[in-house]
Amino acid sequence: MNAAASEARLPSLRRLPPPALVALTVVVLVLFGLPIVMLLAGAFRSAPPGSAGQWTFSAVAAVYSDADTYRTLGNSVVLSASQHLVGIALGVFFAWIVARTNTPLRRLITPMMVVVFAIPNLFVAISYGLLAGSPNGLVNDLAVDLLGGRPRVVVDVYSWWGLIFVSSLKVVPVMYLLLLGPVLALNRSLEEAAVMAGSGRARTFLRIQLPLLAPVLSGLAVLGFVVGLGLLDTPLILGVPADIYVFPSRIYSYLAGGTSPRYAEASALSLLLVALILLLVLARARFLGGRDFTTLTGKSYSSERWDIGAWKWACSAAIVVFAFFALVLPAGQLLVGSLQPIFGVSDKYNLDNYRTLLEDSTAVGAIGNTLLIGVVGGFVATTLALFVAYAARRSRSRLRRLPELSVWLVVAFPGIVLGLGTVWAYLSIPVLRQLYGSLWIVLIALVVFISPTAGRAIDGAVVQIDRELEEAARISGASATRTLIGVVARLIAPAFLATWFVTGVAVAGNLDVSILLSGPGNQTVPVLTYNYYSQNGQTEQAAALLCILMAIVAALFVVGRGLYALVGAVLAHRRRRKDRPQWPADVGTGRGRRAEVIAGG
Amino acid sequence: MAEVRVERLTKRYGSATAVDELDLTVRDGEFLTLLGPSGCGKTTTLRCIAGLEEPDAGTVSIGGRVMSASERKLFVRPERRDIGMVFQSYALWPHMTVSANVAYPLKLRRVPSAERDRRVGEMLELVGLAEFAGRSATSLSGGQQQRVAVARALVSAPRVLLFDEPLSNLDTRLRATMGAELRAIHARTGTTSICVTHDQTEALTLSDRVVVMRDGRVEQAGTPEEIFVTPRTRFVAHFVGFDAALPGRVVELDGGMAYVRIDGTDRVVRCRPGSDLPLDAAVDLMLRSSAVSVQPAEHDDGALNRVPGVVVDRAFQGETVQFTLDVAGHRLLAQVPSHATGGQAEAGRIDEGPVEVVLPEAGAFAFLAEHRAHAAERPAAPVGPTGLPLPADDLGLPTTLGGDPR
Ligand SMILES: Nc1ncnc2c1ncn2[C@@H]1O[C@H](COP(=O)(O)OP(=O)(O)OP(=O)(O)O)[C@@H](O)[C@H]1O
Ligand SMILES: [Mg+2]
Repeated sequence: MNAAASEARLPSLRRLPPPALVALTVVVLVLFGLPIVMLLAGAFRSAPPGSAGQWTFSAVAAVYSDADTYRTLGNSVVLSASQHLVGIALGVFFAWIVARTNTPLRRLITPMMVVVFAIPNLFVAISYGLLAGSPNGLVNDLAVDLLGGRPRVVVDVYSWWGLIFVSSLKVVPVMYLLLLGPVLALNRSLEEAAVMAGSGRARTFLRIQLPLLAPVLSGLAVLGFVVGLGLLDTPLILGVPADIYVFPSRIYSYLAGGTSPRYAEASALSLLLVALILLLVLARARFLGGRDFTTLTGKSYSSERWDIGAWKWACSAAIVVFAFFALVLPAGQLLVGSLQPIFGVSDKYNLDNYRTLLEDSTAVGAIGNTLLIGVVGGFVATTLALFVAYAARRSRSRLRRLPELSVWLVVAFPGIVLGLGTVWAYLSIPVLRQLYGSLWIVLIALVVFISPTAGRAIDGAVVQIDRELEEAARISGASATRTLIGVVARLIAPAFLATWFVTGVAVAGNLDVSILLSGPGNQTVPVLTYNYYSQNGQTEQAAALLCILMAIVAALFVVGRGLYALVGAVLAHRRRRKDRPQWPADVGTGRGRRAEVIAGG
Repeated sequence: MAEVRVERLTKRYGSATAVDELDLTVRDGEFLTLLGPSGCGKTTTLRCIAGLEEPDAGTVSIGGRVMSASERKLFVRPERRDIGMVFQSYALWPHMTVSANVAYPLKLRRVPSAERDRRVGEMLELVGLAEFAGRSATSLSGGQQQRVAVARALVSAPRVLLFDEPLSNLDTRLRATMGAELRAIHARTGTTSICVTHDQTEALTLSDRVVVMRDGRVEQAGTPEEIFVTPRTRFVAHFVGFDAALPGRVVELDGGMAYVRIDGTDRVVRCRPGSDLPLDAAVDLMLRSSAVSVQPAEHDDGALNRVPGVVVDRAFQGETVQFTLDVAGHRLLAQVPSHATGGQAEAGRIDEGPVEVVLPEAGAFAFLAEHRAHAAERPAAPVGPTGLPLPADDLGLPTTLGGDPR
């Protein structure tokens, strides 16, 4: 038959998964599985990574029988639970203001929350350390001015209250963004029925709406609590000086606290934390039926708002107060601090700190590294997430879910634990050891860390692409690759860019993962900032460095948006001339998408 | 143009067999419809022909070229098969304009842009959407989107056109016009076409030939007329509208006709055997309710094809009157033209009570009963609270028909 030439021979396709999927699975297993396995093994090693040692139970025994471990557990639970209680309460409150009331400033809430969400924890924590940790910060300055007396610490943020307050500031936007959809979607007729039946409005909210939200709230509470257990940055900066240790900071102190790092002990403690998280995640899935509360519809209801009378001024005030504490105050302190040649001396302002930084090769290097990590790391994580989601949704091979599962497993590994696992993996294995100390290892670990977040955002977008759209392209004569580029990529572009930006920012501001991996040769801005702040007492430079980081992020956002709009305009122009494809709609401005991005973190 | 040949095609999903050793030939230039109830494997068959599914066994060839032969591990990818397909969801690419959607297959075939523009223009003209060329594809109405999908499928002059329930998303009126348009386009292009539907009217009006499928196999193939007029199995009969049934027994076979005595009576009905019937076989007599007529009981003289019955319910339906009859304990429906359409005067007169039921000769088929043992235990169909019979569940529901031949 003359057609035989174009007939493709299939190597027993039903048994063997396609090579691309095999490659993806191998890459994912190495990237994601290796640190986990090595961490597990590391808890039972007598020597640090990369050196000869024996298998032993001594570290595990020591850690698990130490009373301090259980004090740490208690601290972790108290901190995470309290910050999420505050976060959820305020999140519901603000979502309710936006969804239901005629509060004048309500339109500012969402943009404000997005900005607060995008600011790294490190930024807020250090800023509050400056504000209320030293006698020279703005808060204590003011307090002393009011109360009189000599400069001293009147309000001390290095305390339980300070720690909870600052942590909560960062939880509120997450909870708000996740809750806005469900609150908007609450069935209005139920509420109206209650009002018709003579129930007061406040009462309607408490009796009808809150119970309706209960499943969503409890799901979020568990999820948030789990995430909170693993956060290092704020507890490290504000808790450790007050001798308050939680799991992540205790793990860090095993490694950085004493004369020589105690890897096995750190790993043993990490395993306890991971086990706790897994237990909670599984319990949640079991009791709440694994329902996903964050898949929100962006549907908005344009029905009447409640006129809450004079309360609307109180609500407006609440918005202003939150903006002040979460945004204005920390940003103001960092800006002011970065302009003071000597921190707290408020009679002289100049750009000396910036000049010093930009002349310092370490700092310039760190800025370059961080930019690279943000841009490349975000891109790689998003691309990887796209392939993983695509494989899980489209492939028919039995292998297809494995990459997705591996990525999800990482959710149970907090940043510092993942960093530790990476150290084990890349120091113990000879070939990989060459990567240690280079920027690549930081990049790899951060990509792994952020992948579940990216995966969540991208998966939502992949699901929305009807399979028949791809099949129609195949039938039209496009190969599988061509379909991926010509149809899938184009449809997914807005979600891709949004995810790239969000993960890039998250990666660039991350301290938890990079703190163990980044040294003099491969420093990142967050790590350098922390060093300036904690060890060298160069607070002014820490402030300046953070300001530079935020300026760069803002600039990238503006430039990115501009470029996107420009490309869109150019394509639209070409289309008008040639009936060419139009550029997809605006970059993910939908609340649902943003909320989903966040939910992974 | 090309002939499509499917041999012993099998496709399984896990342990379920969606298509089961299916044989099918679509002649060059023919418009063939796959008809069957939901889940019988129509879409799967179509997708195997398109190359969107990989069959577990059997061969598919188009125009004499083997497209897939599982035994030889041979599989031509869909983009190499030179076919056009109209999807149920239309699957227009939302990021492209109408004309870009239609132009895409040509672009992939590297047709020069001047030629491309010309052919896209022609196609849009053909489906009557020329003025929508620059619009975003998904901003069109359902009917317009469907026409874009047809234009896109046709533009590369494929050898075969596939349609998966092309009309199911349209409202009734649009369905009729689009059906006629598809027919006209087919008449003009003469492209071999395969269409999937579960709507019998659609199948009858669109196609040159209809293939009725059941549980992944071909139940009967033929022209719409053959299928509609002379169903060869009880399943097909039920599917194409033989909605009335009476159980009986073959008492005589003569001159190509069968004589069936209705159970519970001494009356004999002369009818056509649906297939080879042995003498004394238990059969089901299948009829269209519109072919059953009703007369006042006084005419009753025990003649052939007349059975006594009792009117249980009479419902005026405008152009027809529907009688629910009890014939020796069996429920039977009759649609009689009403006096409104100048039909039998009796329809206006007959009310409740005993009547004579006249069964047609040519429009009645005897099929071997598949559920005889079952039916014997339960002489009459259950009657609902209003006196109307519940749907006879031994009639065509495919799940109950897979039947053990007890
Ligand atoms: N991807 C799949 N995975 C598992 N089972 C499937 C899949 N696709 C189809 N099936 C099963 O195969 C059988 C045939 O399905 P198919 O879609 O071909 O039916 P159909 O005749 O097109 O029905 P409908 O008229 O409802 O579209 C069904 O039982 C269906 O459940
Ligand atoms: Mg179907």
